[in-house]
Amino acid sequence: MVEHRPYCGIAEAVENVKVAPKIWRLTLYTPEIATAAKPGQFVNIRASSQHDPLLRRPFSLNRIDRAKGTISVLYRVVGRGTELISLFRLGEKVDLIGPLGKGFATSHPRQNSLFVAGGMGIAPFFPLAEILLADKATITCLYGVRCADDLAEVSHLETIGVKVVTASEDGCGHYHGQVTDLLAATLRQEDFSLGFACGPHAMLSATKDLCLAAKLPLQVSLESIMACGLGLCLGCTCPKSNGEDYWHICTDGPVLWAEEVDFAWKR
Amino acid sequence: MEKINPLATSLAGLSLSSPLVTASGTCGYARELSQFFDLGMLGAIVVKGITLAPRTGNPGTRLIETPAGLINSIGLENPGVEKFISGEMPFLRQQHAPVIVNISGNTEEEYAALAARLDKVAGVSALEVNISCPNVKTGGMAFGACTIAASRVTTLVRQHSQLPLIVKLSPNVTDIAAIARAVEDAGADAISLINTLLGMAIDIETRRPILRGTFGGLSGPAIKPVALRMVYQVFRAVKIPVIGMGGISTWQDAAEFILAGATAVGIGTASMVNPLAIPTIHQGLQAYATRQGVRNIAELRGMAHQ
Repeated sequence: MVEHRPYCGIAEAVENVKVAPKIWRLTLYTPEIATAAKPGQFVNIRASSQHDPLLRRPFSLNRIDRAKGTISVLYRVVGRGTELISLFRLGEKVDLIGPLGKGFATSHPRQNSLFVAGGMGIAPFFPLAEILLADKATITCLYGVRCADDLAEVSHLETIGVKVVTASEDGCGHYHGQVTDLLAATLRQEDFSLGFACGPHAMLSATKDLCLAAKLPLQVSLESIMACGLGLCLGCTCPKSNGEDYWHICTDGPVLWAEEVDFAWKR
Repeated sequence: MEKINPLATSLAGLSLSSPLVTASGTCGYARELSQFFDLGMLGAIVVKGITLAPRTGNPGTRLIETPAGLINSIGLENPGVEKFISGEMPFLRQQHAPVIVNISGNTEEEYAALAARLDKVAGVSALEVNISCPNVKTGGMAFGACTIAASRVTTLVRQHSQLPLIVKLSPNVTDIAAIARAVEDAGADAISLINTLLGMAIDIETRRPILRGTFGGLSGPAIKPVALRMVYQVFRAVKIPVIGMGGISTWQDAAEFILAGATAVGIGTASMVNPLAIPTIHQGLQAYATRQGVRNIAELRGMAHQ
């Protein structure tokens, strides 16, 4: 169950801009969601009012601006759904539900926080950084991408005071290699109080192992295909580390403690 | 003067405030939908399928989106009948809608035990016997695929329960009318159809079926014409009422099913896409009944056969 009764209705598009060759940011005026939303939660957006594509597309919140009553999502155009969303114009009436799911837990000791992001996994970190920084935490963000075209958010994060270290195998980042190699090196040099990770499955799996070995508590934001995002269909599961049953990513997550998740689940 | 409700529906001895019910497996145990509208406006709440023992559901990918459709392979994830009764029924009893419990067994004995266990549980208005789940290894659809097995399960459940009995049929059969007649003869009070159509998808990079169980159940607007055809056929074949479902997303879809012969209609995948689908369909159907000049929607039932 979600913590607040989610809003289900229409929000007006106030901006839909390309921020990198295939990456877009959609900003919606929806005071109901902006007021209730917490970092790490998501919204479920309908790409079309027709039957195809049928399902909504879930996106984690990339900006939460209570003062303006807006939220943003950061998305990569990968298929028909996101392609249609990229065509949303100013003033477009967007059908969405949110905020959904459980966000990041920020009540733990977090003076020196570590973010680990892979590709579009950077999306939920800006609003989280705002909250942590307001509380005088310092934040290091390790951000892995495949190439320079995949980079988004770096200047925004740096502007608010996050130390961003990029990693790329093609040499476009500060570190030449995978973000998990950068993570291993970073953990050898510095102690952190709380870790947050979001990105591809293999990256999260490796990040969990490294952080647990370093005794760093880690929260992971998981991604899944969802039919409803509400807990109706029970379709978006990942195994619990107890080996017995499943988390439902839409309602138990999308943020879970890494130690509670069994990352050996992919077929 | 009492306001006449043109959608009031009577089904197998139950009085429903409307013909619109939730399709089993698409609304959990109704808590989630209760965040979006008053469940009292539902004709009935048909809960996610219950089994004797808890089931964790299927591993791996459970959902695949298709053109205007959705393939699922959930695998009857549920807390088991005891935890359902203790954990979910207290909430369901407080809602102002009849509760229909969908039951599923691996064996005939499990269906009998479930029927017996639920028979005297306060707040349970009827049973929907699921002999059509495509996503479990044993039981499920196997019981719904042949007239003899369907008839035996129905007879057995009938012997163990006083509750109105709805049997949910699979569309994955050659002669749906024959199965419908078999469960009617065996004592079913109503028939619901269709469950999902068997479907699959293949990952062209790994060259393997995407679902671990290879096949899953296709739902959504894509299956509506097939569902409508089967409701039409079953209405002609039996005298007991039919609950029609399969891809209903709009009030126009619901009206088609009623004209084909459905006494009530189930809304499933549409609620996942839009949790307000049922209230929206309710409004449209009410206006349609008025425009058609009928005092009750039942007057339109089966009209497509005339």
